[in-house]
Amino acid sequence: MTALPGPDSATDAALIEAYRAGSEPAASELVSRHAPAVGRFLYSAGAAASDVEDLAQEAFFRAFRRLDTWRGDASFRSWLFSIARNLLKDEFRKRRGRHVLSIEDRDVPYRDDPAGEVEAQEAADQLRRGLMDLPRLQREVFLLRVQEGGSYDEIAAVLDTTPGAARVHYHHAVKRLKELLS
Amino acid sequence: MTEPPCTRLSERIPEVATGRADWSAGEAEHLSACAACRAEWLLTQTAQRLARRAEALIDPDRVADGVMRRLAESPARGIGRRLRWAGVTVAAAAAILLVVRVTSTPRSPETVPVVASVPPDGLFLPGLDSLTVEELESVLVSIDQPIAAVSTIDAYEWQSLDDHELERLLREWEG
Repeated sequence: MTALPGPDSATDAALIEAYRAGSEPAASELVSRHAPAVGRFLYSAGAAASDVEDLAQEAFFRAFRRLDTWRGDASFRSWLFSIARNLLKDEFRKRRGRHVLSIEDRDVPYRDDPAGEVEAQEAADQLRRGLMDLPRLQREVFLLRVQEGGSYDEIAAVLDTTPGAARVHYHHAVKRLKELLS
Repeated sequence: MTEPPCTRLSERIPEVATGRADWSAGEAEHLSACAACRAEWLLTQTAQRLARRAEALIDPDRVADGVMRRLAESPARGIGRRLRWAGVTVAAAAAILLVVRVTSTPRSPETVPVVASVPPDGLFLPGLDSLTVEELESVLVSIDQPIAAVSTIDAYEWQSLDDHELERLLREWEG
């Protein structure tokens, strides 16, 4: 089984079975354990801050509605990422390729080093903009690797590409983003 | 062949950044001495910061509540699809029965036509010749009906059933 790192896939499978048998708490547990990862991916890949929760909700809703098509050869989390990236693709298409990035969602600066914190926040904003300038596959490979810790095999399964191609996309992305932040 | 230290470190950065591994002493030493690797590490740290920012935007419990509410409001997709197939199956079975009934009706020898050619002004159906006017009317009416109307249960009845009733109905149909 190809699985991105995350909560135990075996317990995911058990929760899915429980949900299929009618247990709503099992579905809620699945959402709670994977929602932060889906949110990280959506936001970092370009979703507007105000849309992240709605898009995450839509991704889970679609996942549960199509649960009969999930065969278990990928982890539930990997499958969710596939749904989330398609959702985001549709969202970008609706906006005709325009990415809406806002800075209203910045963290509150730490009091002990406000200057350093502001600088770090600016770097994060810059990175988010830089990610939007990358080709989609480079962006998604980079995020799944550095934020989720996925291996190339796992990432390739989510993005429907090969591990070799995922590796090449990752190194291209790193090179371009390093130049951007330096 | 041994990979260059920068390549090896680059492959290890995501693992360490996501907290699934620690630097070895040798890796830490290389990192402190190599500007390119430090820049890559900084990039990863910045991506982690974005991740934390995203986590603050989402409340998993609220998402779960929203998903469960929407699932409760929408009929199960699996049931809908099975009902559609059941409807098609019932309609197909009714059509087959109709054809079998029409073609297997016993005919007296004098009514069996000899087919010489298809009349130029229409389709020649010898199986219908033995039917009375009333029977012909009945066949025409059933042919003119939309497929859904041939089903033994109408769409309004399906819509008024809840999920459990629909499941029970499907089980009965499927034996």
